[in-house]
Amino acid sequence: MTALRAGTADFDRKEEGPLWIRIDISVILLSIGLLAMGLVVVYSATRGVLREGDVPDRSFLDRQIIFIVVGLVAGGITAAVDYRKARALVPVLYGFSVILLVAVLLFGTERNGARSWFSTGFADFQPSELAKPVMILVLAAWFSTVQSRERLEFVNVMIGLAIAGLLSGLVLLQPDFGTVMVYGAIVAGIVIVAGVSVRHVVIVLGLLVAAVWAMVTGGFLRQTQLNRFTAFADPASASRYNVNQAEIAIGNGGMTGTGLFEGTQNNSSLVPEKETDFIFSVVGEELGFVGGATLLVLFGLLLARIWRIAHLAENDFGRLIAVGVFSMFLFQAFQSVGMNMGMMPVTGIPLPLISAGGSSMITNLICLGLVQNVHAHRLR
Amino acid sequence: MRILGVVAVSLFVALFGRLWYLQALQSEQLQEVATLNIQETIRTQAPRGRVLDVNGNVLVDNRLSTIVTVNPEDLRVALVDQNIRSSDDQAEFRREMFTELARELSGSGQLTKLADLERAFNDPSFRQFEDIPVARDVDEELLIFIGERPNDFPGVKVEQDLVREYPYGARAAHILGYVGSITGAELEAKADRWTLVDPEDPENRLPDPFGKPYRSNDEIGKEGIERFFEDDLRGIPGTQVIEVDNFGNLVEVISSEAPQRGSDIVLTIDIDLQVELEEELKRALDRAREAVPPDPEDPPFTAPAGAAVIMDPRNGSVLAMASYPTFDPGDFIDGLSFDQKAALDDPTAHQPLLNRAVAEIYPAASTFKPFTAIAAEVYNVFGWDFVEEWDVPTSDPGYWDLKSCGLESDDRETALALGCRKRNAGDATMEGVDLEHSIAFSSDTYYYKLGEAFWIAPNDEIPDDGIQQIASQFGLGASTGIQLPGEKSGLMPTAQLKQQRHEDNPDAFPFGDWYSGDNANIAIGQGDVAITPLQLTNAYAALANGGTVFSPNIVSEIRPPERVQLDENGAIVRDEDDKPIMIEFEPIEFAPRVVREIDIPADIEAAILDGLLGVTMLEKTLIDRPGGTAYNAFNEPEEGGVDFDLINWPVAGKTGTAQVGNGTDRADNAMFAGFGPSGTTNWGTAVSEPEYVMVTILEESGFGSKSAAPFVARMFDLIATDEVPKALRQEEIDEFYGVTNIGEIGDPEQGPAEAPTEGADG
Repeated sequence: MTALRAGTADFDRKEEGPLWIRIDISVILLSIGLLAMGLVVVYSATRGVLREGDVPDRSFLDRQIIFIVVGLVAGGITAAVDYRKARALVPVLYGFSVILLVAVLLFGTERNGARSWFSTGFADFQPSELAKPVMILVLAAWFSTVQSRERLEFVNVMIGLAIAGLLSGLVLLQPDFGTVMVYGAIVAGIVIVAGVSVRHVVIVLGLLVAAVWAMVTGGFLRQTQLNRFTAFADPASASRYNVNQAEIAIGNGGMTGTGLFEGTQNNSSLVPEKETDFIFSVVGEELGFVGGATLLVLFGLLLARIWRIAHLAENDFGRLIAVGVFSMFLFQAFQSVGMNMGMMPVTGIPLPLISAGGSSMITNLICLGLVQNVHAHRLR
Repeated sequence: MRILGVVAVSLFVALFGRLWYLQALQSEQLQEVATLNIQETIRTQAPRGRVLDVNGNVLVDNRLSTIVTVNPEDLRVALVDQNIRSSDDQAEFRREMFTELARELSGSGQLTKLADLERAFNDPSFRQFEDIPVARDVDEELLIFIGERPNDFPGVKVEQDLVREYPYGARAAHILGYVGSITGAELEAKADRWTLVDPEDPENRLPDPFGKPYRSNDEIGKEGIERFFEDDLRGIPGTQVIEVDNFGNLVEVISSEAPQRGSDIVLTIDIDLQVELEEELKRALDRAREAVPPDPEDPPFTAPAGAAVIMDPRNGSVLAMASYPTFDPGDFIDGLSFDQKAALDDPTAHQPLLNRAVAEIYPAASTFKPFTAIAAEVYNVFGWDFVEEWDVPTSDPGYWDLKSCGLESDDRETALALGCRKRNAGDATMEGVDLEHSIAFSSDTYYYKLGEAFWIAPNDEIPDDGIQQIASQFGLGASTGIQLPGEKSGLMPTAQLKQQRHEDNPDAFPFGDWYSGDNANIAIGQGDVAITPLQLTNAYAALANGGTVFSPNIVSEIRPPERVQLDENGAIVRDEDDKPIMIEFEPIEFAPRVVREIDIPADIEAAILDGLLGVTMLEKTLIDRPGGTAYNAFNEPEEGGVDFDLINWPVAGKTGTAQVGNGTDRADNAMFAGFGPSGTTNWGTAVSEPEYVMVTILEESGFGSKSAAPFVARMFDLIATDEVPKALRQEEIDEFYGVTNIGEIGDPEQGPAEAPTEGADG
């Protein structure tokens, strides 16, 4: 575990040039590549089965474009406000998130058995998505405050976990297990980089196992969610259907894919949720190994750039923000792609920058804005 | 922080590895699955082949039938359009609609209950997009009624479908059999029939282009020819392979093949003769029932059932085969109603579905005697010890005292009580009994003596089972191999078999030892000798033709329809217009099937023939000698017989009166087996090669001479005088009696539906 660099931020240092010069242009280019790829496959997954005279359904595509525009604006604003100065806002954002997550439990719309959405006319809004950057910010702020000595003290680790635990607990009540897993990845990444001792990790993991065990036996997890997890190990179960069809779709693509709009698994709607959680099956089927590998390479390079930004960050707060975003993207990409290929259990986690869905898209672009923000204020 | 980088790199390596595995290594298999995923095969029923008689008369045909179908998807869409959305409301609408439909169907003469329609509609074997037949064979008027009310009956269609038609009604029902819906077990049994083993990979199976796939609700032959030749009669269903999306919407038609009808089956049966045989069989049983037993104490002649077979002894072709009681295969077209099923299952109905000619076993009784006689000559029993030569007249005191039974001992009464004295029927005494007359008079004593001689003679001189060996050579007690399902083998009992049965099941067979009495019983075809009417016919055919035993044919040929041609890759060969090139197939003919040639000693054969002719021709002239047992049947019209021209069309035959059960609670079975025209110079008749063998067994009908022989005499008389009437089709009979279709009452202009004659495969 890398010890964080000590030292205070040099606020007197002059920033060189305007913001758009100081940001990481590679992150922009890689993101644009992923967004473009995402738009194409979301359109392919949602245009419908076309027969003679049928008009393709553009509604998903158009909305996705709007989400991206909104996300870019939100991300731009996030990048522009100096994160060091905005640090004071973190508790406010945290409080706001808690209020939203409580509100969604009370007034939200239930869909697929989870009360996770606020329904609006144009698009549904998912507060647990927007809580992701808040989670990153609050943990980065806390651990950068308490980590100034050699090792994190156990009590501080526990306080950090409690801060994260409140948000996670509220999301679990929806219940949305997938998002909680993403939260967990963010926590893990930040805590590790903040310098937790192995002994503390063991204790925390022990507590976590006990908590999960209590949830399972206490009936807090719904049977459908349990089924999805056990389906991972049981190829005959009915829940395995989605994964089977996704694997067939990906295999059907072969090296070069069936061609855009030509995937039979896609056109026959044999893979459920193919425009969101199972979007990678469409990539794999229609664009083949070439397309799938390209997507993974783009993600890999993006993560490498974020890792570099963390490395170059001017202070621990910025570094932990970048680490949090890194962990989130890494986990979501691995879980989503891995689930499509039958390596991971089925949980509703969208593929960042690719899957259809407004809350997720805007969240991801805000997170990239945060990373750019950190990069813009790096040490030279 | 480095640890995060390491984790990230390893996770991405794993993702790449899995992607490579799925898209490079597993791709071929997964692509196959993906192709199957989007294809669905829709099958259209092909017409079954027809069944024809030897002269080309169509016995089983297909006709168009009006059916009512409901398409669940169309119904659902229509209801949604009418704003009936909740499933409860839809079910309610459906119930009302079906109630109305049931009322309309019942009003048109077909009693239908709401539950019938709902049961049909909920058949799980149909998909959401298929038309489900809910009522068959309905009045065509319904087409107009439904057509005028599309809003009241959404998704309901009145369509035409092919069903079986029987132009001769219930005639030849046991031969033709019937069709019905395939059962789960049958479906499983046929599962591999439409695939072939992949020559490149024996584990794999490929679709057979000429395969005949079944699905639930398909019709399949259940009995008779329909069952035995199911694989030939069944057509190749038309297939349409379509690509569908996950909601079942049609995306694309990938391939489409029209149905091809099944092969026609041509029988050896002559429908004219068949109809006459069925009529005369029924009449013979009716007459037997009217007769009164000579002793009022005896059980009455209930004559509930019987069977008769006519065969050509020159080639083993079955010309007619009747079994009574019978059934109407037309009842099975729409499935049996509860009442119809109850009637068929009623024990007092005596199993109408059973084809007694092949699937019921009877004692052979006196008809067996010629085979005992042949065995006696073959194994030199004539002239052995107490047995006279076959041409020496003997005196028959009316009984035979078994030599090995201790009648000479002091305890004579016990020996008699044990059955050591075997008696003639009615204790009749007769003089001048040589082999010939033993047959004409039907002396039992003569054969008791032969039977006992076989058993008590040293085995190295005369085999104990010599009679059974010869009888078995004539095919008695074994399946004949006729092309009909459910044939029984019967039984030819031997000492070993009796012992074996006793050891296997001592409760059912308490006695294991074989006695002289057993052999004496065998010699007159009683004991446990069990034969089918067809076996006896076949054995007499061998007597008639000089010793050739056939495996009888009831089918003369299979005529395949023209078929598509396949290239070496299994693809259909097409002409420039993309139409498949059809090729004709040669019919598959069933040649006479000789099982074996028996070398019957010539002198004994002549004596037996003279004896069999005596059965019909020997008049009673002397006080101490009876006449031929069937003399009256063939000579005395006032005695219930016919005035038969025996000189020009001589009939050789043998009566039989078979004891069934213990002989006191049920009347005897009446039997006759005979053939003609067959004369000898001794009798001063025309001498010709026999062309017809006929056997009949009338259950519980008394004496063979009184009920069975006159029946055969009437049949042979019709044949000999060439007066077998032309069989009438059911529609001709209906026309004669003025019976009209219910459908015609409303609309006299409209005749009954045209029956398609050349296979309505369109």
